[in-house]
Amino acid sequence: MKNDLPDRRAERGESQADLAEAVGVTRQTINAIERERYDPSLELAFALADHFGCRIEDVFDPEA
Amino acid sequence: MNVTATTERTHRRAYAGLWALSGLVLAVSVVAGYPLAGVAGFYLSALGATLVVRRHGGPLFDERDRRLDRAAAAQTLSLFGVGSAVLFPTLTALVALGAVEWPAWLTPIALFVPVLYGTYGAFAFLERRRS
Repeated sequence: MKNDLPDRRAERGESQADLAEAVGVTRQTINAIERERYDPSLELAFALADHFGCRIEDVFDPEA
Repeated sequence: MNVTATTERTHRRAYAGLWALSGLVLAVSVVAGYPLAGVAGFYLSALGATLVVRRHGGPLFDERDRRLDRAAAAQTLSLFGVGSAVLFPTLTALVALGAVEWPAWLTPIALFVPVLYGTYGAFAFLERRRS
């Protein structure tokens, strides 16, 4: 699923490993999400949105 | 790519490698006639795999791994199911016609398939009752 995680991470100066640790998954999973090769669970999508202080639909775009 | 990413990949490979090694050590030791040494080697290697997880600290496997595991398990079941549905009736018919002899090595596999699906059916039943 298309997402803007790389941009949001860049704004905060976070690495994939930093984000992975913050939401409790592996760096490989963050990498797979950013490359649109893995769609996160609802729980993880909420955690990611919460981490960036926004809504899920602000981060992920299922229509794109 | 930072140190954490490299460490994660190294630990994941170490974990999988140690579990593979444990099975290999057990099999080789049993064949070589040292079964107790094989059991000790198996548990030592398995312990090493457990220590890798503890040393890593953060999650070494997560929801993506579980999803991949589920997909792989489903494909394995399908492969055994379709393969068995084609192979065993065909072979049984050929044996009945006297065209071929039933290979002895195939018998344990033929017995394993219903055990596999019986186990799957039991867990599927339990999961449906729980959800």
